Amino acid sequence: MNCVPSFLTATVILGVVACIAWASTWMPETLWAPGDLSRHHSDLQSCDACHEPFHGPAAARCIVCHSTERLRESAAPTTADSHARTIANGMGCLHCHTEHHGALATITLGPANPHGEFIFRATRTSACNNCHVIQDGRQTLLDTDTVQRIRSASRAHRPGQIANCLRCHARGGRRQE
Amino acid sequence: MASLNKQIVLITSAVVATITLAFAVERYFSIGPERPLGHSAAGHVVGWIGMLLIALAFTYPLRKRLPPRAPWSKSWFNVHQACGVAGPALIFVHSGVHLHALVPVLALIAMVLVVLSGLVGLVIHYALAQSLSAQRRELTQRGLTNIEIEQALHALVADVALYGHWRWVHGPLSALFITLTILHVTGALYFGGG
Repeated sequence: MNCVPSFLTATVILGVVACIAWASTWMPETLWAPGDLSRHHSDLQSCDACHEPFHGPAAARCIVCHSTERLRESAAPTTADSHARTIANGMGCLHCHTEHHGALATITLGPANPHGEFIFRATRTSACNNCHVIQDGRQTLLDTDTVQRIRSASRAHRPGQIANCLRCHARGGRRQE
Repeated sequence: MASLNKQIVLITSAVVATITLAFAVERYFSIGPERPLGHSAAGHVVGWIGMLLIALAFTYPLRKRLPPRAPWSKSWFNVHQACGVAGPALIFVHSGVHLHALVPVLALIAMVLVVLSGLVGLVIHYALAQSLSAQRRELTQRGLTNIEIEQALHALVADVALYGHWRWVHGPLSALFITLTILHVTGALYFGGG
């Protein structure tokens, strides 16, 4: 083997590895994440807030922010109950939740959001249970300001029409295009 | 020369068809744009199989370099070519066109460059083999069998200077590709778990 190309190859490879190692310290998501974090987690500063090395996302790290007590205080009673049942059944967070599918993606697995994720920006809500109570596969509407506003809105914003929002709001803005 | 042009058109068409088919398969098995196949358990299995095939493609250059140095083997060269196409095709199924993290994107670019340089090498190899037809005639006159002539010509092509220079493109790119692949797999295991 010719020594010069071998030396050059080794130098280039070491340089690439060093650049990746250096960049990983200040922009790990750009180098390693399979997709952008959702709007719910976009303020997280480091990968190890959720990921345990060689074990993946760990429930023990989720509950640092999403403790049972905090869930009971902030979430609707049905949501807190369903989480308690899930945990009691020995299922981890990843049984129902996912991440890295983009800022507007839903992070709860299961039936797709029938309104589309634009609903959260349009109504300035952040979760299904801001407007709905979902229990045993059935949902009922809460009597919130948002729900009342949509119910009293003009035809285009009536329930059942919202999934078609991008027909008028083509660029995702509040103004009609 | 017409035959060489035909080979180039054939190889280019096969590459385009393979990549298109791989992306179509990935799209078919992805559950919507936010649930790509590559992020599922099945997508990981496809990635591992693709990587194993690519590892098999490396048997040929390793056999040539590591002691005991084996003579030029056309059979292993065929394995090298087949796995060097089938493995990357599966990696395209694994990746789809969902390019986000820089490390796997760089690994994918390196893989494409390795395969393209391999195809260029194949064309050079074919062109040199054609130019050695005079030597083929001489070997025929000396009474060698067809198989013996093929082996001898392959060995001669490997010694031609142009082929030697080309190997300094294909080899280092392959080394870079292996490095980036190891980083990608290590990163996926580190963040995603086993």
